[in-house]
Amino acid sequence: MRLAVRASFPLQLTLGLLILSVGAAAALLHAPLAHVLGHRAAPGAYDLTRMVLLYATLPRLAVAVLCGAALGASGTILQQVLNNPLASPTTVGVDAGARLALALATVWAPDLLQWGRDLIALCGSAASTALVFLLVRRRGFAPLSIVLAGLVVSLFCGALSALLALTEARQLTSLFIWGSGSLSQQSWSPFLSLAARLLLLAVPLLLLRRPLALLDAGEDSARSLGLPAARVRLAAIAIAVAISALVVSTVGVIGFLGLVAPSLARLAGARRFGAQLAWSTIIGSGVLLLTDLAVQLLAGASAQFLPTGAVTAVIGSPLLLILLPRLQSATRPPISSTGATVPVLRRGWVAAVTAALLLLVALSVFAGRGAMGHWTLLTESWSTIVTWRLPRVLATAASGALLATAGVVLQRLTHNELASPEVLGVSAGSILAVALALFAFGALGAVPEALVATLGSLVVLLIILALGVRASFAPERLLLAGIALSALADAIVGVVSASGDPRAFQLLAWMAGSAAGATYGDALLAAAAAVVVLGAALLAVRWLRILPLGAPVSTALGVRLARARLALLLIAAVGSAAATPMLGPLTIIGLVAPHFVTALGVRQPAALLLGAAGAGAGIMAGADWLARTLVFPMQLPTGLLAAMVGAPFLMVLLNRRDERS
Amino acid sequence: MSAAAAGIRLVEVRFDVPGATLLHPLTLELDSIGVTGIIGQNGSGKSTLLKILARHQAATGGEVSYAGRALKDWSAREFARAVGYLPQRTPPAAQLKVRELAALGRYPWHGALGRFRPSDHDKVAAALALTGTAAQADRFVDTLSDGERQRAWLAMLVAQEARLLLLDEPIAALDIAHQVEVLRLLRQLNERHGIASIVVIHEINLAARFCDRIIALKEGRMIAHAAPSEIMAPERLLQIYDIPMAVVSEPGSDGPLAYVCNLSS
Amino acid sequence: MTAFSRRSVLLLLGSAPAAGRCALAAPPTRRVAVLDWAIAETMIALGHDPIAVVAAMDWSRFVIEPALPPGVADIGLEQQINYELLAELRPELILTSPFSQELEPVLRRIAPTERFSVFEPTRVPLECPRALMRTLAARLGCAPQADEFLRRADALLESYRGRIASLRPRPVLVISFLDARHARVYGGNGLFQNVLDRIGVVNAWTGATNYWGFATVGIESLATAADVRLVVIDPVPVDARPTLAQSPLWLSLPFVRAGQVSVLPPVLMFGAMPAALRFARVLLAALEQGSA
Repeated sequence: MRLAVRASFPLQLTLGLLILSVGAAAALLHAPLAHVLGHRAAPGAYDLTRMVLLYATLPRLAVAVLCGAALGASGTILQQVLNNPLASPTTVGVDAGARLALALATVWAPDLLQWGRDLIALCGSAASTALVFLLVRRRGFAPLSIVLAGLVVSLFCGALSALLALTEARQLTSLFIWGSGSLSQQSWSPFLSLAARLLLLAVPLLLLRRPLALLDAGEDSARSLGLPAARVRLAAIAIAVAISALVVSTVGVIGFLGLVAPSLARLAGARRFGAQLAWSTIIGSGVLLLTDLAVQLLAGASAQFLPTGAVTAVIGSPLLLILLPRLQSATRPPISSTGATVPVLRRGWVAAVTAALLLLVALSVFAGRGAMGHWTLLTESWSTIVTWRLPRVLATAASGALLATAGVVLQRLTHNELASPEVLGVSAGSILAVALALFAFGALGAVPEALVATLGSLVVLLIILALGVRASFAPERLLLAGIALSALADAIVGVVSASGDPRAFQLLAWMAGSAAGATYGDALLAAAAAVVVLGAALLAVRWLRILPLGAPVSTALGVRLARARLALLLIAAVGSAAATPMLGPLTIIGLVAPHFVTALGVRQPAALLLGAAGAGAGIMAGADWLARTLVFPMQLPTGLLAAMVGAPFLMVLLNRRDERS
Repeated sequence: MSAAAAGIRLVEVRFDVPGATLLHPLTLELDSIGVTGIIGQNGSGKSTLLKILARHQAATGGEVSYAGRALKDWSAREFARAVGYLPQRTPPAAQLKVRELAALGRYPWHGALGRFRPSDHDKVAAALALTGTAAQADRFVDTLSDGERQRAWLAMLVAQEARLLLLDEPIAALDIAHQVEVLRLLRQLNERHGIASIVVIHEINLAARFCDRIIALKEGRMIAHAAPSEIMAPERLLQIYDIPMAVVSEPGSDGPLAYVCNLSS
Repeated sequence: MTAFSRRSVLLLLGSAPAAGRCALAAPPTRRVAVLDWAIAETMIALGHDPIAVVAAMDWSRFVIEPALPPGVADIGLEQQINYELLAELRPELILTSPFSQELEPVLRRIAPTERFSVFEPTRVPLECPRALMRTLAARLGCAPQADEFLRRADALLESYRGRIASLRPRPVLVISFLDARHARVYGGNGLFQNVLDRIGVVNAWTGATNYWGFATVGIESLATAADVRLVVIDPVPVDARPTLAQSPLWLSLPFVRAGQVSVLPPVLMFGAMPAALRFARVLLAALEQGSA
């Protein structure tokens, strides 16, 4: 009924975009056009306005149209294939891999750059998406698994690139510019080569249009209609990834367009796949063109460098958060969660791992490197150990325990085994808050910074709560809202970093998380928070057992859902916020530690909480030790190192889980 | 407490969603519930009615009361001590063993923070014994067969000590032997322990055999509320299911049997 | 206790105006650790070498001169200080800039910590690096060296100014390439602009710049007035040249067509007096070579 009313809406939307674009283009182009048409300069004479119009402004607009169309198409295909209204090239790891490849090349093999940044970026995208698919190959490329694998691979690549960006801050401004998607052009050749390659991809895409449309009826029905669903899916994903990787390699990351354009098309009333593909392509190019025109008009007025891609994401991700509840009714039923497995407690392993973690903590206190870079074990002066190491190890371990506890609570609360403070966007909230505060008020100092971060994460949790109540905490929805929030945070960090503003490095350093310089006060505060949060979680252990059975059963057992959920969310919020000052928002220990313990066969909520807290503490202490000693005298950020150690573990786990089910 | 006090009373209860009425105003008094079956076509409002009784959905109009008190006046825990509910599709419980699932039934009694006392252990053991799941007590719920799993969930409801069980199609996924087993268990619970149940059920013959009374819904309206023997009549069944059915009474059998007739025509 | 009271005295002196009274300061503080390159290079120029500096391993790539004296310890990245190592080096004083001010509570546990302003936009050319050198020298008890250095620097810059005047160079665009499509162009109140003003070179960039005196722009924005020399500061990304060589826009830019492009060795943008002198010297060399 609603659809009938809106049947002509895509057309209206497109017309609107078109009119706005024409207006903006007229504002941008009328002067140079008048100049070029008015003056018939002698051949060979230098005409600056003409050259800029012909070789900068026009190719830039053409690139905007082309990239917008390509990303719109790519997003629609991925959403159709993954049966997931919030899938996008970013979700399957295209951007993260390209970014990492460029960072690696810039730092370690700058000579490779002369082969072209696009080639390196393309290789990176190919590698990261191949890894994603490798991880989910045993699952017939199931939608949720792909999203999860994409997330984990992106987290890993992101942590590594952030590390490189931090250690090579003076060289990697280019990386931030690329990561924020600047459309600036100086010739037609990027446009021409991109257009040629995209045209080549359009042929197989047109052949796949019908089979893909069959997926509208659901995969099982499509298969019973004689469609080789897994093969069609793989081929379509390959094309979509190739399209977006080509775009990304040419101009950089245009954040959310692959997500926004298909959603707009769908909300505007395009129902069937064919219509969605067509309209999303048109809307994508319209949105990017309009954004870029606006950016160009603004750029004349301010000295702030505004990369179009990041601006698109800054506009797009809040839009998606607003649209999220509406998308719910417009989409097919949610995809099922990962398969059930039966854990077996492995006592021998538990003992061995406990011993190993204790050893790790001891090592991180008593082993280090001296002034000459030599290794020391128990030979450090006591003052070094007592003044610097002990509080630091205590603080990191306690923070690790806090995040692990928050992770367990959130996983049980959302009955989603991949929930964690980082994944749900709680950390993104704190990044956004700190970024805004940093640029509004300048340097903050540690305590206000922690307060601002806590405030940010609380706001996000409240949004999640509101969203969750409406969507009854559907795991996919929360997960993807988290991804949207993280992308928003990424975009804003990208804009400030690309500007070359020195404050950006303070933000990056804060995000990277370092416990260096922790005092006994910090350590005690973190430890006290850990005791309180863990204690509260242990008191709520019965809820943690019942809530995963779902709302109907929980209510039938007399659990007051609203109260239980609010209490658990508060525990998780306090836990993750209290850990952020030490570790920054990027560690994925809240995801890793619970799985680490689950993999050992622990499943009772109380044991899980205690085990995860212990594992979180031990792993963090170990990561911090590595951060301190790995490239001495340079100190790496603890939080990022934890993410780099943790992500591969999750990848192994994803792979192994697949084998079992 | 008299049987009447534990009855259910509905006055003009309705349930609307935008653009449709799933349950038309329904007035109904069930004094002795025993084992009550709710039958009807798909989409006739069976599950809606059950969810309203379970307080899982609030009626959009009318009054529902249980044991003489309006549903909305019960606290969450009080209600859970009195009424147990099993959704149509039981959720996956990968992390739970049968004993642990049954133990969850004690939640309304000990709450989030109360101690799990020896008496709680005894109640769980009794529930496992009563539902015949004691042998599987240490197995994981999700490794059980469908019939065993259904009984494990019933063990949770029994441990809950609810006096009224609301079950949404508890036998839909079971083979005939397990269907009978579950329904026999419900009868047994009612006769020996005074636990009443209201069961949404599709199997008309089994409903007739095991239920004390049957409520028939059609397009959101109650079209029959009677003893099984009255429901098991061709004209009644035609009205309920919109398909001609015949009823035979085999001498020596437990009751009449209904079947669809003239299928070949 | 004694360290604490001594620190307050020193702080007081440090805030006292200009030289003069620095002779009253306690015996010169020898062991100084520095968290900012501008401060570090100023100290080295004053002949007072720090014992430790951040990111020392990158010094030779980005600062180059004055060379980092041997034996100066590397205490890690600006935002990730190796406190254990720093404490072990037992500095008597730690110097920070506003960029690292949030680390100060921790640094104070190691040694007295003082913050120096390394950048403020001023209209008077080089006022900020001069002030930095003076206050730093006053604090370290080597005010005469600072006066001497600044006197010689002024003489040097004045001679540069004269040579520039005789060259009558065209206006310059001073940029660093970020990649093949983007550059950072300098102007505003930055160090490079200060130097240009001091030695009498006209900056062709008239667009807006940020607080620190630069703007990040697409290469096409460099298409400004016709009679301009482009001054590129190394490092140039390896893909910039081949890509630009294929850009009709780039090839048509007047400074490219006229061969008016110079490449300077790396100069520290967030530097102080030594960086300013280095920039003036390498720029003059490039302009002299260009007009030759």
